[in-house]
Amino acid sequence: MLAQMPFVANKPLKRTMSKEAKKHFDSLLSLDVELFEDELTGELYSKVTDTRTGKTEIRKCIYTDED
Amino acid sequence: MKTNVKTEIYTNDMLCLSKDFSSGNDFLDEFIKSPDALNDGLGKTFVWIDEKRTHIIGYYNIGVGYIDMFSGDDKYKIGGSVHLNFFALNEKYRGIIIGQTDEGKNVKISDQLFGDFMNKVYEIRHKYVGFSFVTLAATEEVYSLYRRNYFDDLDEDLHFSFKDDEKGCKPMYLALDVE
Repeated sequence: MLAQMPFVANKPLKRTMSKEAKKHFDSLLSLDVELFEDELTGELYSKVTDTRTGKTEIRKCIYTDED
Repeated sequence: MKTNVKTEIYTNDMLCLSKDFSSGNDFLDEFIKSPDALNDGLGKTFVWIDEKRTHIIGYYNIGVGYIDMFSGDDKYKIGGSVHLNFFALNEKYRGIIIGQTDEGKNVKISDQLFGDFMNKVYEIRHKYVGFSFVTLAATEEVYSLYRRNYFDDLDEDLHFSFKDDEKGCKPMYLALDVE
């Protein structure tokens, strides 16, 4: 038996990823992140490198209430 | 202190690190402490761990699924999916903005862990198994994380089967084929 349920092979997928979403993931997935904690103050810093451009930015982390 | 984050497959020798893991969600905390997190039959667990292997920063567990479509009384397979079974971040790292995307959107550590999961998804799809979607069942607390990462609520005519522990969650999906 090949399959119990029919596979709609001739039906195009209705749902695709938008170009905006693709751009978002291209950007998000290119970020290389390191975290640093200041031992004196306990403040957290991030060093983020965009692997596409090699550009690195160090910034103090900002705390929010959400996830 | 410098924290270089590494992604590793969760193994037996990391169980001792899980005892200090706290995400603020007891269910997710219990999972990573249980043998279920090592059970390939349930899913594969990947952890974010610091380079010195002192603590677990976050984890996700990946399984497989299918999206079906109802048409009248019939049910059709629309496409295979990778299903995000579990996703948790140590509460110490919650809500922290670490950078921005090209579009100027804030990137939190939770987004970065989620991006790591998506990297894994693309790797699996590119190298090993073909599928069309990523699916997950979102609790209210993390719904906004998935929405800002372009996940949509499942349309009414689409369906995937929930795990027992996902009842009451909102089914969401992301198509991987680009328009």
